[in-house]
Amino acid sequence: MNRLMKLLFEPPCRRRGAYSLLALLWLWLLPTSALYAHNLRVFATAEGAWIQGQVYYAGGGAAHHAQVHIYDQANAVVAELTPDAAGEFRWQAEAPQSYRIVADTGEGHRGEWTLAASELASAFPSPEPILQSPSAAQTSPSDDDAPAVLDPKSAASAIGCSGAALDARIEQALARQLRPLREDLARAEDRLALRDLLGGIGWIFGVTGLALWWRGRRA
Amino acid sequence: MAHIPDGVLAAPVLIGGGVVTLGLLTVALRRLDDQALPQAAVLSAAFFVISLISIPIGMTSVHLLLNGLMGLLLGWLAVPAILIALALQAVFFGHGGLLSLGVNTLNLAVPALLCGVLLRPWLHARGSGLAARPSPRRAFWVGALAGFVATWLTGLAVALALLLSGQALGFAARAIALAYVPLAGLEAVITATVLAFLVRVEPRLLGVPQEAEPEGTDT
Repeated sequence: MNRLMKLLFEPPCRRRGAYSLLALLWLWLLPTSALYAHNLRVFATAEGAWIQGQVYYAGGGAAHHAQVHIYDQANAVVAELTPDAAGEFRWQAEAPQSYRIVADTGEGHRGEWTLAASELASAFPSPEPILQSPSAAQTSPSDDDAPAVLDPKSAASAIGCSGAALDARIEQALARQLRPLREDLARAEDRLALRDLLGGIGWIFGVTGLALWWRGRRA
Repeated sequence: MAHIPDGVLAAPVLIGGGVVTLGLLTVALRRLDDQALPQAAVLSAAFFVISLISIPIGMTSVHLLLNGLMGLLLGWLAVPAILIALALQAVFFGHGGLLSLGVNTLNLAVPALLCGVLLRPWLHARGSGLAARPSPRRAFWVGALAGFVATWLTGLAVALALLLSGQALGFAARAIALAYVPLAGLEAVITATVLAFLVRVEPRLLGVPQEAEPEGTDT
């Protein structure tokens, strides 16, 4: 403490070097760590009919004390969930529609995520399965060199399930595979972009310049 | 937490905050001093950057506010400086909301104004010129007080805004007020350090009356 006081209160000529060194050190450390705005985020994907998601602070940890509300298209609350210790939550969707997932910590933080209806579509097969139009298979090029077109129907019968079920399984597997990628994308968006930061500073100085010019013009 | 997003606060709180901020802004712009504008721009930019950078602590993260420093150095000009920085943060980064801009500005600017009005006179010793310069020790403690009080009052204001909107109940409001205490301590150290530095390097920034211009010199 005494040394700190000495550092602060000694004549500047002796300590200016130390201060510039500290400032330089800070500037040098700054870009090495990713910067995040202080925000609550929600991320959710559908796997089958289950909506799986996570609530977290941008750049920080899980927000397990948040309350998650799920709104349907009519803007009515259809579920109220509490995330687990890792900030994760699960909910089984009732219909293939888009859902709005809102997390709120009750202390002024709020995050939102919209889950598109198309993500849930595979879990809710339409009553009349889409007919495989035979023309699609027949109009494939008659070229012998062309790779054989895999007929989904025959593939499905080989595995032993209907085309619709196979489609659903493919979509679910894809969703599972793509989830980490989408999570990475969402997290990358949380990161502060240096150009936005510099843009903001530019705006501030621009506005100030404008104010000075305006007042100078009147004088 | 000082950046309350849209969709959290109730309409009367939003409108009230907007109207009061508009009033404060009008007063601040009427008292505008061109000489202080560049300084306001620099501090506005500093606030813009530093309150975006969140430091992960445990499961959540905090960020500095610097509104005590802004109040001490800028006085009334702190209002437009904070408003512009908050507006840009909301537009560029979604940090805080546009509808809640009025309330957020109020939460940060009122403590800053209090520092400027109540604590700034303590920085001035009697006399003019260099004699009016406070000792670095005095600047250090006034800065520490301003940093602590401004941050903590901001915390109280956030809790109050949430309380009035029915978002946080008494318990949560108290938790928010408590959560700001360590941050207020950190702000105190930083504001004090900056002030102790400024008073030795550029005391005019602290509003210390300038020395009378010696006659007969071209400037």
